Amino acid sequence: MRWRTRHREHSDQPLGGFKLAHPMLSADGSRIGFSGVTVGRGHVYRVVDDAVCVQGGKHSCPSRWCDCGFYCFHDQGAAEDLACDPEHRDAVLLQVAASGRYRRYERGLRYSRQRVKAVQIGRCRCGRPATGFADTGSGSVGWRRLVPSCVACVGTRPRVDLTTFGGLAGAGVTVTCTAPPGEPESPAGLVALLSAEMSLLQARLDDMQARLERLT
Amino acid sequence: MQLGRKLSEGFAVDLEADVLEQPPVEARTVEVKVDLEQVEQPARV
Repeated sequence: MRWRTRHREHSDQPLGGFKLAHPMLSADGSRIGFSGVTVGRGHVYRVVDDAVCVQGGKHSCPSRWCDCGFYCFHDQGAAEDLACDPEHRDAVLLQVAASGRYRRYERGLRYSRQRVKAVQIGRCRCGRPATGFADTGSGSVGWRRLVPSCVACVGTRPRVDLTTFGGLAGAGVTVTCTAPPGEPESPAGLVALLSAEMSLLQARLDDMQARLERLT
Repeated sequence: MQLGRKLSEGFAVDLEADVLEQPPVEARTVEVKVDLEQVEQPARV
């Protein structure tokens, strides 16, 4: 009987990749992390971290018999395509360095060790470029889930700006907003909006005056 | 994530990750008291 020889690789450098993740903030606000968007959505990992089997297995990751381990795409475009899924609209794009034991696939890697190199955020849900992160109100034990947000939409929710998030991420991690600045609101649009609001107010005043006349 | 067909497997080194994961070294002051009376004197030739 002859064993099939597997193609083995060795690299003295980490392998680059791209992936989506949800930004997380620790309950005391002193640390940041990320949670996965698919298999590892219930697990929070740090900027530099080793994979654990989220299925509860005691084996080392990535196991041949399991789907555990970190995942990333070779190409940024593939991660951006995944971000079009409405389920992943609140995720951020990570540029990562993959190392340790890895399994190479056609479109990406499954691997044991990860270092986050860059965090890219896009637009707030309102369409403006995001300037920071807001608390979503969801999360997991010890971690609050964040969402990219602009200043106008964050409201009274706890907010973490990009600089603070980058500082908590540590040296070597860049945090940027890749969305181009939005078009300033045109004066014509503002005039139309104010005219509509004035018409509404006038209608309410007329209604109130009619009621007063009926009472007197 | 659908990554497609498996092609190979291997091992990659990331020295930067190793450095970042090391806990910061804390400076410590250690007080050492030496009783000179108890120090053995070198033998004279």
